[in-house]
Amino acid sequence: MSDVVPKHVDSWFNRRGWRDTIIAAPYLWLVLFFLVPFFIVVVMSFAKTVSQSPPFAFLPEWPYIRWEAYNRLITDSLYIRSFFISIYNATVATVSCLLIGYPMALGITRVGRSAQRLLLMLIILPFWTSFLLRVYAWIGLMGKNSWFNVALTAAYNAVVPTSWAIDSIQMMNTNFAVVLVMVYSYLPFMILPLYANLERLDTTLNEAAMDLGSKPWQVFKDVTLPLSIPGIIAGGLLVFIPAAGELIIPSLVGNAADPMLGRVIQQEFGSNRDWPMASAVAVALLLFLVGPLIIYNYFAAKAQAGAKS
Amino acid sequence: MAVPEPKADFIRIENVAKKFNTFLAVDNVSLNIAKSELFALLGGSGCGKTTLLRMLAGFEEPSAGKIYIDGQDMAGVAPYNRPVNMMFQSYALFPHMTVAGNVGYGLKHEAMTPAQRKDRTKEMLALVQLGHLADRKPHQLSGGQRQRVALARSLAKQPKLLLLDEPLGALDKKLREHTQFEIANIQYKTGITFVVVTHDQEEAMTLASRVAVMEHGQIRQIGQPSEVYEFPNSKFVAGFIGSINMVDAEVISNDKAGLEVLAPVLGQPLHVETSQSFSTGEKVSLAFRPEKISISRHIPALATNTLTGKVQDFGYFGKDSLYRIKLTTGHVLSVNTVNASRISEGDTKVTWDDEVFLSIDPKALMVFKGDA
Repeated sequence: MSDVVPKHVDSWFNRRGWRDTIIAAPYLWLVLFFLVPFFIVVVMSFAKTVSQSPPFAFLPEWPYIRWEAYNRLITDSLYIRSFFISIYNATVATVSCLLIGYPMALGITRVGRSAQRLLLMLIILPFWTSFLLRVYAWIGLMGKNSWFNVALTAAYNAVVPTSWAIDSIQMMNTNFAVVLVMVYSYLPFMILPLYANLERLDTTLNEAAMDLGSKPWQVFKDVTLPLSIPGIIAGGLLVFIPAAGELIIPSLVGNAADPMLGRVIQQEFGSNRDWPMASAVAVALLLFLVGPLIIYNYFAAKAQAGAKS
Repeated sequence: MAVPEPKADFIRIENVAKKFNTFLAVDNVSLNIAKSELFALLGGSGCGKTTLLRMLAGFEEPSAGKIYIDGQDMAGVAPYNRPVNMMFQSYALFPHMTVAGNVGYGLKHEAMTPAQRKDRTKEMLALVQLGHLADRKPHQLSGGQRQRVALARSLAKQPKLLLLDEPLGALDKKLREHTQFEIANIQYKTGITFVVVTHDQEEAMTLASRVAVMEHGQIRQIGQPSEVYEFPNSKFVAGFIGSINMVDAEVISNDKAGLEVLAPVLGQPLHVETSQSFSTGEKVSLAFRPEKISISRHIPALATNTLTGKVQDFGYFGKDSLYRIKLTTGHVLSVNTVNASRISEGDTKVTWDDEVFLSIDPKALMVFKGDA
């Protein structure tokens, strides 16, 4: 190599600095596009609203900052309500994804190799259509005159007494619609990490437990479930974190009276032009989501330590 | 080891077959195993030994035939309802449980008080000398320790039958020799019937009181290790167990004193003493083990079956030596000698390029029907 390539070129390519550059690149990215903007948002949350561009300014004298936005955050019922609605919706969506996704992920690991590839393809397939388009499709499905709604209504009317009969089911613009579409949208993010985890489990462990007297459900409870906790946590976070801050789905199918935090942030930034308030909500949401991430990192590090030896 | 008569059919395997799609993994196997016996299923990979073991454990159902354990028909009995435990080749220890948790796991399903369970777990760990590691996780143990945890776990429920799948396969040579005796010892102490599956003939020979040699899903020979080694019933068994010299030959005469057999590659007829009968002119295979040949640089005094050749290769292994002797006909034989005396004693030692005389005891020659 060094015979063909001039020495100074060779040393330029192989110098030690490249390694540091490669390591530094993602950190630089994070600092520039996450830390600095986040710092701006934090600073902005301590400003006051003014009618100018940009629409915020700091107090002209000491202490320069004001806590007004945070004060409103913990006293104004709009923010408290939307915070709890966000957590509630995200929790229900995460648990639903887990209940639907776990059996699916486990099922995929129990079929042949080529069938596994096909089923995984089918799980990922919806991503090939625009997310927005899929949400609009749900709007169409949930509308009062859609075949979906008509069929569900007919099924409901068939089992209840005639005095309870209804014309149609109100699905659009409800919290239920938000959770339903979130479960639909985020299900692959639950299934994929769970599958990756379950697929790695040694099936001889199941045989060993069965050999030692455990019935199939006991084998699941004692062996499969505890060993899949890292997968459950990974999938849970991948669903919970985006669901808690979700904007598009509640805006399109949700009820304006029960706003989720994402929608509140958008309204404050947009129509209200209250940037400090929007920033304060964003900071609160981020702090709340960092908690689960720390828990996840703790478990991931523990699982890795166990797997290494 | 004497087989106790009344319980000679503690495990009864009757005409058992197992078919996977079109592949016949186990082909009409019948076998009785006595109570408290240490029985080995020996064979190469794909011979059906593991499938047979998995049918005993209940992980596979036989396609045909019956399995009885202590008189009870095992057809349709799930693995968790069988009085059988298994030590897995990979050990299959539960990574999220401690050593004590692993050993005590099966006891959850026994009618025992927590104190009794704890005592039994302790007792089992003491049996494999791992009491001090009860709170460790499997990934904190060495390979040999994991193997002993697996053994303790499979013994904890005091099964009627313990199955061991390649129990020494993952251990290094030194540890293997030690563990071999430990397993035999524990088997003797507990009196539990052991069935060991192995591809390693040395392992089978040293561990087991009886060995079944399997090939293509069938049992080729069952017997005590010495029986299978010294009196193999077929060319396959003779070749599979230990090393052997095997050549094509023809019976040239046949009388009460024995046979005269001519193997063209040996250059001269050999005298064979055998109880089997062969007709003159019959094509046979002549086989003899390397250690049954004596080697000398001088003409032996009692010169029956003496061949001459030259040392082509010589390997010194400490306790014994292996020679490759090129006969005057050009054929190469393996000869094994035990180094009973020290090597420094000069001229008695045979080495490279020496002209040597080989003699073979007429009783040590084995004759099998058909070509080699």
